[in-house]
Amino acid sequence: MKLIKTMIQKKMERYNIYSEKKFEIRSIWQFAQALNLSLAILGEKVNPKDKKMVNILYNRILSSKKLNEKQFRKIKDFINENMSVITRAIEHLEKMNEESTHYLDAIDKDDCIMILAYEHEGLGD
Amino acid sequence: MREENKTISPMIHTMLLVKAGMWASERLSIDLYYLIEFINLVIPTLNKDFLEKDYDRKYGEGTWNKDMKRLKKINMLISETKTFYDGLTDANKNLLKRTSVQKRVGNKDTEDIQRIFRKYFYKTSSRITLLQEEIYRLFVFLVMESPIQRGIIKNEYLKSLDASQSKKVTPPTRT
Repeated sequence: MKLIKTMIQKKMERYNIYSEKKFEIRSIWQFAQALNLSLAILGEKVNPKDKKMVNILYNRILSSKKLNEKQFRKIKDFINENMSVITRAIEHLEKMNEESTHYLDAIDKDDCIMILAYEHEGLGD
Repeated sequence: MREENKTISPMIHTMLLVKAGMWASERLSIDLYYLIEFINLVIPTLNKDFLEKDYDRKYGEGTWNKDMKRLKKINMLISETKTFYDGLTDANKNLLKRTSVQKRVGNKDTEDIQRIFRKYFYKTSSRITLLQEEIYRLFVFLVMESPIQRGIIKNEYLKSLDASQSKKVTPPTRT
């Protein structure tokens, strides 16, 4: 689960950077990727009407090579509405991580590896 | 996770983490390409029969075959788009409208080629939809079913945005 969490975080990081630099097409794309992942984790779906609307608007923006303010505002509204999905997905992943504290997880920690090596060498006797 | 899928070769594990890193931190490339490559690599690595059974049980009968067809289509669209995108120069990859100064400075022949690449890139990429739940559902399922879920993407696999990449491109000056 760590992997998916990192991926969502990285996508949101990119979304923030691109929207700050006003690379709008790229920022929308990055957000959509994070949203897609979050929806897959939660097992939810976007309202089919919204999905169709966003896909059409994005393609229009892409093909016209410039931003139409109205279309862009609609997509921004969609982003704001669905921001909660991403936060819910991250919370869900954190919960899953806490629940599945596997024994092998402990090996990730440096001191545990040291103890294992120590026992292996027979120095613990 | 099934017993049969608990181990994968360390080399494939690394390859998968690299691809995951590339997807998560794309810059001037098509990120979806790496995600699809990740999926294409995981499926033959894990036990396909069990995957199909588990997937159908989780998401409904026949979804595996349906999503595989979708994956095939996306594979084709992505490779088409990448062909044109790779032909673009870094300045054009920013997908910004070119200023009159840039147009004046640029070489006319190369500009024509770039214009064609841009045109076909827009055309092919518009066929790839923004929200596509099937691919991501498949991706999440595959990660959950493999030991890769506990993998950590190293910093070297994540491309970082440096100052030159995150700025809008300025035209070269004549000396």
